[in-house]
Amino acid sequence: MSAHRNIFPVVNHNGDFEGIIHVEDIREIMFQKERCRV
Amino acid sequence: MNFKHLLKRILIWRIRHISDRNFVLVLSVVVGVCAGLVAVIIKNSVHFIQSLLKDWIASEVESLLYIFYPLVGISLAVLFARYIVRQHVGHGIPTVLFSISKTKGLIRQHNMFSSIVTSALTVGFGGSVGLEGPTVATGAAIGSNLGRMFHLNYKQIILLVGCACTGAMAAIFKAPVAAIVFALEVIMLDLTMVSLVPLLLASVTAVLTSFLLLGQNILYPVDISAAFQMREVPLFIILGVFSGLLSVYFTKMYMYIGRVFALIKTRGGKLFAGGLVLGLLIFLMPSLYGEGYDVINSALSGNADYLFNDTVYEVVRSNFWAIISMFVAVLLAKVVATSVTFGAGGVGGIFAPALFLGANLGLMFAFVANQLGYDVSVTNFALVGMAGAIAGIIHAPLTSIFLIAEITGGYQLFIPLMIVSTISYVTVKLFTTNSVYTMQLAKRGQLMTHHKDKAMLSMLHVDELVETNFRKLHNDDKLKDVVNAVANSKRNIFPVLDAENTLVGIVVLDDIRDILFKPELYDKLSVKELMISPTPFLVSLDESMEVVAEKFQRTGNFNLPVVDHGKYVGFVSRAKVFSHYRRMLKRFSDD
Repeated sequence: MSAHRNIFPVVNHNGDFEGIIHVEDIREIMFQKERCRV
Repeated sequence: MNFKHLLKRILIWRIRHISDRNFVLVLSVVVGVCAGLVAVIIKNSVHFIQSLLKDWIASEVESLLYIFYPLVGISLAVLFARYIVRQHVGHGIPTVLFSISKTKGLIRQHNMFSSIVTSALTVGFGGSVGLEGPTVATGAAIGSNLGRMFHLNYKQIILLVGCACTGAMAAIFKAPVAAIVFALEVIMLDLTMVSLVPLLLASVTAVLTSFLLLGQNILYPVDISAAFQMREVPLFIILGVFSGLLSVYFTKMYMYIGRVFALIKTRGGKLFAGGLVLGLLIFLMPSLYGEGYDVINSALSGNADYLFNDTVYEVVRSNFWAIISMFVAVLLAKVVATSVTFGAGGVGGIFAPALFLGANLGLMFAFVANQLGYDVSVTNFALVGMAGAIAGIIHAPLTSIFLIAEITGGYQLFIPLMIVSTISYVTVKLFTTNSVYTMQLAKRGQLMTHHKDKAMLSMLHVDELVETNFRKLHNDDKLKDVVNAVANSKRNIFPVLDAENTLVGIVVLDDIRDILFKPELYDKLSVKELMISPTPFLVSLDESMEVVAEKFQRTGNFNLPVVDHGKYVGFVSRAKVFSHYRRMLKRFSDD
């Protein structure tokens, strides 16, 4: 399911809040497929 | 040493030795003196012109010439504005309100003298308008330009403009308290401890200047011999309703005649049409000539002879129904006479016409009441009628109460003044939202009022808030171009333009998230399939912020596209509007 917001909270396996990802910060790389591969 | 150099030295000395707050106090005294002087100059100029006309013209032709005098006066005023000032000369209080709302309190320098000359010519030659508006405007122009000369900020300039308006009213009516109330109620200054002291200083200085040069006698010397009685309360309530209805008639007729004159395209056409109608009305009802202070004084003494003097109906002057008919005719015609004076190009105010109407309405009302056996004081009713008309026409109930109390030198009529003013104001508000002072500005969303939200919005302008850092798309672009724009933009909306730079659509990031990562669609989908129509959200560059705020609320959008004559300019965002709104509110709330 896609989000409607442009900020994404990052949590660890225990549910602890670790950080935030801003779409603004990743715009340039999010369309670079080679960097998206795991 | 030239003036500029001297001013610079004074400015430097001032900054070193006098705090901003104290300097405003000093300037408020200066402005008070200037406003007092302006009131005296305008008043004496009118008297001078009137005496010239009386002394130089042979008496046998005088009465006939009076019909043409207003046309001559207004023509001279129009010529002066056109060929000497070469700029539009406004009508006093609306000019001041406009400057506060739209030009950061700055009033052009010519207003420091142009209103004096044009209004003196208009009223001196018999134009059926008052001198209060021009006096206030002239004082305000002096306050504004003094503030600008001494590099004061917007708030301080507005305060000086308010001081000048207070001073002007205080000097004209010798009513210092009513003048302060006027600044709060009509000029819509906020009452804070910072504003109160300068207003008091300006008011008292202006009154003293007026006392010094014109003497201490009050404007309407009346003797209130009959005290207010409880049994008169129902009559005052009815007078209040009639005052309100008369005010509604004033406002509607004033606006209607304004629209009619707007249809006449040439300046000469307006002049002759207005001059002729005014001349005809003065021929039929000579009491309409000039600002009408003599008529008001006569009305206050209970003498209605002016209705019939120099008319062809003198023979019926003792008939009750003829008197009432003339009262009604004068009330109806005065509004037309005032409006056509403005329509023709005359400069003046509506304060004196409002007092004229109120005095006549009150006197007529007392005549009718006495005829019905009530035995009321005609003077009291004429006075209270004046308050009712000011409350209704100018939408200033408090000013009217204090003004009449002060100019009559007593507070015996406070209760009836409160009854009539309040009822008149409530009645007029049922039919008209704004007074003739504020109607035009309010229509354009440019009126600064005590309504803080509206006031702040009126000070924000779309062109100052528009943001332009958006990636533009063209209407023949594909999804891949959108993806490229998303990757390289900081924003989440993308205007779609045609070859003429017309905004034809908007692509919203939220709507296309699902397909952004589907490369197989990059060349298949065109922008036209992805965009939404901008029409429901469009904001034009000159739109008022009140309308824009309403659009934000109605659409729920965070950004609205801005166009200028159909061409794309940028977007205005809620976030930026809010931050500017708050900054402005904070600046104005500082004491």
